Amino acid sequence: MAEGNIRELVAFRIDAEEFAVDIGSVQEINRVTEVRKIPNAPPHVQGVINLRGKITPVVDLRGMLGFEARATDAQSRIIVVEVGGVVVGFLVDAVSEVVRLPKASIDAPPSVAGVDSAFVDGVGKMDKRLLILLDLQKMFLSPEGPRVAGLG
Amino acid sequence: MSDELIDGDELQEIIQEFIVECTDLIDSAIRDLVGAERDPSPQVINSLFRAVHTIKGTSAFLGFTQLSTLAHRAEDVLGRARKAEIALEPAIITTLLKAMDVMKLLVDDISSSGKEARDITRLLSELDAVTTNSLPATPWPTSASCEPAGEMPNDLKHQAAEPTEYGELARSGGDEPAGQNGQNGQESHEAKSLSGKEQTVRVDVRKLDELMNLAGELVLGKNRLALLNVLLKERGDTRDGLLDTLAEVTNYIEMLTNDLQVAVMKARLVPISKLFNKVPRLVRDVCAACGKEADLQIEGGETELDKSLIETLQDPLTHVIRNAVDHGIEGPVERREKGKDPRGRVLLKAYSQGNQVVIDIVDDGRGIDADALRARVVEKGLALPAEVERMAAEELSNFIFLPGLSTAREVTSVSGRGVGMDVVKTNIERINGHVYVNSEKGRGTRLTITLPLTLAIMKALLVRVGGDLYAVPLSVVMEVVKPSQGLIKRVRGSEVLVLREEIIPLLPLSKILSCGLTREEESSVIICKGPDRPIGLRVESVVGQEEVVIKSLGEFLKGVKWVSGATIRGDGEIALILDLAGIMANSYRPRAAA
Repeated sequence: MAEGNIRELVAFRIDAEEFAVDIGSVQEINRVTEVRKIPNAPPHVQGVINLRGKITPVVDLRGMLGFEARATDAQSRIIVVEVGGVVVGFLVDAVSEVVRLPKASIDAPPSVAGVDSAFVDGVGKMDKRLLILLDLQKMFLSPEGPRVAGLG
Repeated sequence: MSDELIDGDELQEIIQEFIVECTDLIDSAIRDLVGAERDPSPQVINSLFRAVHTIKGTSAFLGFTQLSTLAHRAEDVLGRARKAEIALEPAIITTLLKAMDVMKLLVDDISSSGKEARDITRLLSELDAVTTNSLPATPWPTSASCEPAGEMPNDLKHQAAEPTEYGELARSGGDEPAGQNGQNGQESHEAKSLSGKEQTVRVDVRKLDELMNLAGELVLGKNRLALLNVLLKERGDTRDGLLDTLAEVTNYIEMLTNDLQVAVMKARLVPISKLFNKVPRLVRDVCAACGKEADLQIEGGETELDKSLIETLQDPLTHVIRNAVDHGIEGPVERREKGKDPRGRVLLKAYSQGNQVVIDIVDDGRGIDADALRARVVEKGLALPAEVERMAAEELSNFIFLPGLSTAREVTSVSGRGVGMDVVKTNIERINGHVYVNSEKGRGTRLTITLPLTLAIMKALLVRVGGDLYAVPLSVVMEVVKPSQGLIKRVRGSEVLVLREEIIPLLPLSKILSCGLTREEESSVIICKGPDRPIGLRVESVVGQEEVVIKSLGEFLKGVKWVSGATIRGDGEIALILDLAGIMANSYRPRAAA
């Protein structure tokens, strides 16, 4: 949610990188429950979880961003977002905090090594930290995202 | 029409009812007309006459003069046909069908603006021309142009000797075409509703949606209650009979919930004939437009499905039928050259299977040319030549669902632009259904559409495959056996179970669901009702029976194969519901000659 020139974001960590998404899209943050695999699922769709009675798909954000898979631990969380009417969850290694970043501190996305810049909205600077802002629309609703079912 | 006798609101209501009744009468008249072309029995002609007569009367009463005049002219034609003064030749049928279409348009005009707004003078003179110029009829039953029902032409008999999936079309030609029965059977039903009072209420579908959701949530609550009961029982506190009372109440709620759920489901169901009824006319029109000859057979019109699905299926069904006639079925000359009956056959069949409704559209036309398809796929850059070479027929035929992939040699006015099948697939998947195609070059094509029954609270058999939980609709399950109870053999590369002298093909679920299970771990076989014979599913273990609420997999996973939904058990674990009809339609080979 952007109020004037501040963006409110939820920051989280995958491996050693920090990312952030707009707080307006975040529905909830849960502890990790078992993700039920779906046979012949479209690429990057890890499976589904039971979110208070609703079947919610979980997307492999790590994979989409080019990170290798890793086992979850006590700090791992599932962030559930709503994008364009679709509710989707993704696993992260840890959730840091809610940050309020002035727009002035956000740079346009450069080509950041190791991360597909198609999904990056910008890079935020906070003290010594760099937050890679993710464009959820592009990640989940575009052809490059999990939507592509191919012939499957 | 004096307004003092009937006030404004009441008049509106009367007009609304008139619109509904008229539309129904016109629709059934259209069906009757198409049926009368093949078999102009007195009953059908009478039914047509009565329908048009009623339209004439009620529209006159309400002051809709154009509709009334048009109906009157049509009535004149039908009156003469009734007296055998004229024969209902195709040209006359076409004119009458035109009249019906215009009547419908007039009704639409009335519905949207309250007034008729068309110029029907040309149509009226056409109808007049028919009545004055036509030849007298030969006494019914008419001559050789009508194929006597129940006889199979010789070429088809020859085909029937080799039973294949398409052979079933020839075989069933031996029975009186179901569509015909439908016409006559329909007709007596029509007679009742013309005079009778209907005990129906029109309900907004959204209200039914709401009821459905509530019923579903109630079942989930009931499941949790039942689980609690079990847990408390295990604690063994039987003092003061409180536990017993709780159990009793839980049972009662369970019973009520079941009944409520069934009632809500039933309220939403309508017979699929509502959808199928437009098809005879469609086939007639497409045949005329493309110069083909085809007989349509409809089976299972009484199969019920959720009201919400009917509308969504109109377009896809229309497109598939058009395709079957336009591209599938060859012209009469070509068919004769191939040794086929010059009249093609299209079978439209519906049946329910567990918690699904299955619609088959089968034609005995030229089938999908696998080589031409391969070439097209490579040409469009969708796959490499090496890849398509390796693909089995089923995988290959899935390509026809991609946009722009028509292999029709010319783009006809009816279809062929290649934009159809992908839209069909998308529309079907939007309602949680699946489409499968099976084809044999030269013999024909079968398209199978599977649809879930929307309020899906169903009894299921829970099984584990590859450690994961799956639900199989209990209604398709015939029995559960251990492989050792029978004999497992390999026939032409597939496994079968020989059980009590019956050969049951086995489907390796672990392979289909990509679980990578080894044979030893598959300890049970679930024998299910297949499309035309029992089929066995190999699973790791059987967990038990349970009543499950089917939840949609959501947007991302709508198109996933083999799975039609998911359910959450009382303990929170997710079980995936198997799309059995789809699995069977796609994976299993038709009954091979023994």
